[in-house]
Amino acid sequence: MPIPYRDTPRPSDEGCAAFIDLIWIDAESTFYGGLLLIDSKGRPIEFSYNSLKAPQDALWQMTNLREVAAVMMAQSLFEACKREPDLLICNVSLGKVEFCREAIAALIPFAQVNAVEDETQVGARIEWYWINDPPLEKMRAYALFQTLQQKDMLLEPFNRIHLGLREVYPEALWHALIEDDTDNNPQDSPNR
Amino acid sequence: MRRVQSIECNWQAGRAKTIASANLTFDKAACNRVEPWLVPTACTCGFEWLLAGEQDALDAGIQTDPAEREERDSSTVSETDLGSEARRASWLRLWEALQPSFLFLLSTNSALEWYKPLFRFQREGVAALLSNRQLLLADDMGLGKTVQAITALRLLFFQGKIAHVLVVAPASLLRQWAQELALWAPDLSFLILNAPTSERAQMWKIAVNVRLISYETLREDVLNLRDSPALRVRWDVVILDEASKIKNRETDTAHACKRLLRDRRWALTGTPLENRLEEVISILEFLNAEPNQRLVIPSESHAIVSELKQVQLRRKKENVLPDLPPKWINELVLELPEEQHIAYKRLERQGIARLHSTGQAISVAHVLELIMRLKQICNIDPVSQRSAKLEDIRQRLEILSEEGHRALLFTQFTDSVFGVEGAAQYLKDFHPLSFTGAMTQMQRASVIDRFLQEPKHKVLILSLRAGGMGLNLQSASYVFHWDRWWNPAIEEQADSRAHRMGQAHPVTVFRYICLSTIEERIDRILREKRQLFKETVDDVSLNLSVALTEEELFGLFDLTPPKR
Repeated sequence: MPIPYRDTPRPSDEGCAAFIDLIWIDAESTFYGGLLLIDSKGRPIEFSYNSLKAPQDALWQMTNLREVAAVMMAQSLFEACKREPDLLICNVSLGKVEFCREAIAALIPFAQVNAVEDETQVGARIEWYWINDPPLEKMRAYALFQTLQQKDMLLEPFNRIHLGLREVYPEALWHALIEDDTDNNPQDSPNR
Repeated sequence: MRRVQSIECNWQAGRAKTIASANLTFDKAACNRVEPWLVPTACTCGFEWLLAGEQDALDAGIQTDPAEREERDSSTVSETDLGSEARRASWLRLWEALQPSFLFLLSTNSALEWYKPLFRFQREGVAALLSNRQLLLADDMGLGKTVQAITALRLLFFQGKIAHVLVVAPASLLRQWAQELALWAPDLSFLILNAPTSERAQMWKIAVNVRLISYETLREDVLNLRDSPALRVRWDVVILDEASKIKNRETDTAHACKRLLRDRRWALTGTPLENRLEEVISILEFLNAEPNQRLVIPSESHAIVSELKQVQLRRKKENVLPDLPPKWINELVLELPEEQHIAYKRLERQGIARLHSTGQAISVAHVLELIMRLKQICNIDPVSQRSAKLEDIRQRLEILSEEGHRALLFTQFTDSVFGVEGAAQYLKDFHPLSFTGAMTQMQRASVIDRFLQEPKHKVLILSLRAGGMGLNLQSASYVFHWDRWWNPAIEEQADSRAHRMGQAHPVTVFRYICLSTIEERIDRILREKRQLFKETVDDVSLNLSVALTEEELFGLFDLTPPKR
């Protein structure tokens, strides 16, 4: 007869969140993308990555360059991902909210987060926008988002994506990255 | 005609790759496996490490040397897929990059909850422990070496970097380690290996994160247990607390510690070692040498000091003054030594029997009387002269007096056994001065003057009734409470003899609770009730009758109050 026990929740029961980021290195006209899945305690579950070299000729409008790259990169990372997350979170590197809603069109709760400087307090304030419908309270994604927000884990994973990409693409010209450009927008590149 | 040129707009997309954790579905047959974290099982590279495999190997008593581990694991993958050392290092770096940073994990809002925020110098100490394979943490006493070590362990466990830890400490400190682990790393399991020899062999096999063992027990197990379990495991971390215990490199204890297979080696000591170079060599051997390897000893002292500085992190109180609070309270849980424990239990039995025999005439006063008697025994056993608290105080006085610090010792009692005079006799090596209410004003003034002007007096022992108010004793920066008052106002008054304007150092306060005694039971009740005396108390007599109800007072001895 099996020994009865109290079934306590395991971290895997609390779902996992996917963070997606896109980095453009102008010096080599290449996008690098990473998708990091973490559990409710912030531990890494999966990391998917890809690179996308942009065409260097003039037929591509700068406004389209990033949008096409975002869609191609996101789709390739989604397909490579082995586990379906409960939540997808991006930052502005993927594009504006409207664009993400129309073009990325993930079918799981999808939010964009951003750090906003606040004159009234020390440090940045975190803002988020639901790209598609926000999760209902009874959904696992809702509790997971609340947990990540309380634990200050809505922005931190993007740092890890950056570090991970530097490891898997050591040959990239990371030193040429414009660190203070939070949009990482190729339109602002002096070469364009 | 110009030749038409066509420009093709070609995106050059890579192939998305994924690094995933091992399959999270539970294998019922392997129910003793740890939950697999992000283990670099790269689909494209094809080699696997499973931290769970370590546990299986430990259970089977197999030595889990990393070289053997790799050899074993390599049999599961194809030769073309097996990575080189450089590739493995690359995967490890990626794996580390994907973990939450330790600074993030140390913040109050992180995935880990912390008992209290760490001071900046403590975070730096944790960083040093994490980034150094060997480290001698030699901070001044009271700065939280144990807390820093436990924090580093918890972070390493959280990041999946370690699985087996051995802490070797003096027997008197094992309980303290257990208490600190419960506070600072509640998600880590631990076990104190203190059973009789016949049972200990089985205890070694119990799967826990951290094993705690005394120097003496380790020596026994290494020397006397056949195929000693301590030597069959490659420990991810071995910590020696009060590392000066192995100062003599020729002792069996020192040999036992150095025979342990260990990756990270941390030694903790509050004893300044610069003036004890002969002790340093043995500790350096533990830190730097491999098992059964002897270090080549430099003959010049400056060379030894130079080697020491490469592995030592030492912060003195004055170095970290900006970080420290003005007053720092340490609550220590001590286990009574055997003789004192026997005396305590005998008195408790006799006292409870007397309470029973009182019948309906029993009152709160009888209970309070018994509590006071038991408190006295917690101070010292008059027959054997054993005292867990005074033994701890003496060890600390040895260290802090060597550093030029001085201390105050407060007690409720004044007599020659359990009180001021008894403590003065016990601590006579430190030329203590006594201060009690029985003294005249002139005598009291003389004692204070001598304490302030004669540095040889390392400790001033005061009865709280006489010494709790109005004295300026800022030359002392350590305060010991031999017995507890459970009244914050009274204890703060005592602390403030040292902690006051003109104090140049942070004041470190030590309060004691003896395990499995009336002190522990009362402390637990008061914490649960969160009883605080808000009003200023001008009578220093113990006022438990206000703090606890009759039921609670009688309940301390499993009695019920009489019906009135």
